Amino acid sequence: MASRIEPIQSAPIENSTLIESSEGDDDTDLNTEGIITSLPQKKYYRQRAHVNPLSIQNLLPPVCPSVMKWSEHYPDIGPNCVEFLDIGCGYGGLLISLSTLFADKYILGIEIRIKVMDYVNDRIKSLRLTNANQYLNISVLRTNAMKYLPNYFNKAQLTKLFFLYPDPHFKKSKHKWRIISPSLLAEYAYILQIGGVLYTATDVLEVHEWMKKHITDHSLFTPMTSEELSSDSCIPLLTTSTEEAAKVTRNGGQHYIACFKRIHDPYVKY
Amino acid sequence: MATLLYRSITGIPALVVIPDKSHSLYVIYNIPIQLQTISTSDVTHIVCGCISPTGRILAFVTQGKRLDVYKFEEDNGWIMSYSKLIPFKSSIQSICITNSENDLLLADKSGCVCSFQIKDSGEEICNFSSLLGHCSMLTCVKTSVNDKYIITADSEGKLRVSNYPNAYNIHSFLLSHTEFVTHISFLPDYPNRILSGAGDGTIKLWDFENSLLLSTLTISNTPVYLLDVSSQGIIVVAVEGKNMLYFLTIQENTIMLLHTIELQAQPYSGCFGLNNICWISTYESFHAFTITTEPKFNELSVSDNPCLLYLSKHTDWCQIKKSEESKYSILKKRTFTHENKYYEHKQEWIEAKKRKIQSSHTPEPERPYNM
Repeated sequence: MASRIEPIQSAPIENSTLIESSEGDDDTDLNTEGIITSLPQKKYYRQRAHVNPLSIQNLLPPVCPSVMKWSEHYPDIGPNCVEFLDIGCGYGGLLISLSTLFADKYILGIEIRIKVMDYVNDRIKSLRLTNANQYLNISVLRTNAMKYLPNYFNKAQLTKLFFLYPDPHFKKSKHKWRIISPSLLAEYAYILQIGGVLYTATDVLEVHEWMKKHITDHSLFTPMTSEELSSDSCIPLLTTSTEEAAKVTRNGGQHYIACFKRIHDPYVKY
Repeated sequence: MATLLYRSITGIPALVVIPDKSHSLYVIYNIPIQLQTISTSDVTHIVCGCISPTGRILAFVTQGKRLDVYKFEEDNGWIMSYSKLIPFKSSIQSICITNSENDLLLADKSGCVCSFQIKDSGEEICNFSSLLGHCSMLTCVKTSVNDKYIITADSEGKLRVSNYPNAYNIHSFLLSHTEFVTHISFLPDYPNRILSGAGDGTIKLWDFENSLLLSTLTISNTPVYLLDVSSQGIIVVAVEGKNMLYFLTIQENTIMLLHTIELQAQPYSGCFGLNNICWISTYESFHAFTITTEPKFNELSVSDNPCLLYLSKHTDWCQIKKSEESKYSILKKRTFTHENKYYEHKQEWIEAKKRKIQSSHTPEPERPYNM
């Protein structure tokens, strides 16, 4: 009985990393220069899944896209530019699958959670070390996609934009934090080329309906036809490549996919 | 601390004064000298107001989100058209009437811009349509001369040029300011250009049609407090913390400093009126300057101008009702160093790990690195 009235003393676990027993299962390898040579272990990088994207203020984006030093991310990028963008890339599963499938494209993942972003960064570093001349076309950076996309990308720069298993933000008061909203879609349309594709996937029906409704309602996007869907090689990856998707499959959840094409503005001035 | 608004009401020299935290605004006509007081029926004070480009419509919003719209009639002055509540959650930051005078645009703190039809629909709560959104606080909204574009400025230093009325189609972003943008001003001789003033103390000249930054002039390292352009293309600027007025001009795509005038107190707001008179309100009093073509700048004395004489009796309009450290203090960027902390912690762990590999006697370091 006494335990019932005892105050809860532990700090809220939401912000602290789940510390697992570290004895015995430590297989992180460092070479003599202190560089991690083995793949990073996810357990050291776990961070609470939910952030308030409107309150994150400690990010300093480039003033404009032209000052961005992409060669720090892609050693061989030269005059090329990033064409695929995974918003909220999580642990980076999609990036790694896309890297070999589209070896001639530069692919960027963005993630707001610092530890998760650092995990992807260490993962790419490790993959580059163990596979010579591979995985040079993928990178990750930490930024707030809701605020700073135009600071990184020019108009019509991207051809593919991915939103896979976004934070559902169930509460009505948190709907403004959702990554798909009418005002944000205007920015996604701005950075996407005409004919560029916006992919969404989620395991929450309500979020799927929300995304489908808002993107369909937006004048610059149209749903992809079934022929276009079946010929798109990215579609199978949406439900298989990411860690979130694997978790959903493991737990017997449903995958909902919706894909849209960026079209010309149908508005005609009278 | 009074906001000065307008230069002419349908060709009649007049000045609109909105004192800080006031329930009334004052329209002062020059010839003959006349005052019209317009009060809101709301219990809260006026936050912002604007006059349509032709000077026929006056609109203002209170903190309690009551929108009052007045129309000008030659014989009777300003007559209230309607007064309505607007269904906004966040406070209104900027208000603008399109050049066609059909729509009223409101920009709020949460980053939304909504448009209302100015024509009275007869309902108590007006219908509005959401035009566009930023994920940062908006500071200013304007439409271009031909109503082809709507330009919005936010607290992240972004200027967004969207098509109008199809504002979901973004024309471009004008990015160069490192702090919040405080002012957008159009230039009478160049319909495709704007001037912007910001918290980084710079004035920038843009060709927004082609998304080009043409010129930058750094005035100070403190926020720009006022920015207005006369019909002759003379620009007046003031910045926080300096009792100076800067007069600028544009020559061959470059912003040039023409003249500076030192005042007794910090200028707060200002505008150009008819006959090239520049009206300024400071934290203490009102001033007026005439600009002749040479260009020459002369301060008017109260005996020269009946309007200024009138204003000199109402210096209480300049008073600050609430002590504020700065007009834009809430917008200043704050920096945190969470990120550095994380990487420092990680580096420590890697170092410890290295030592451990070199001599297996070192104790297991504490990890993982908590933020």
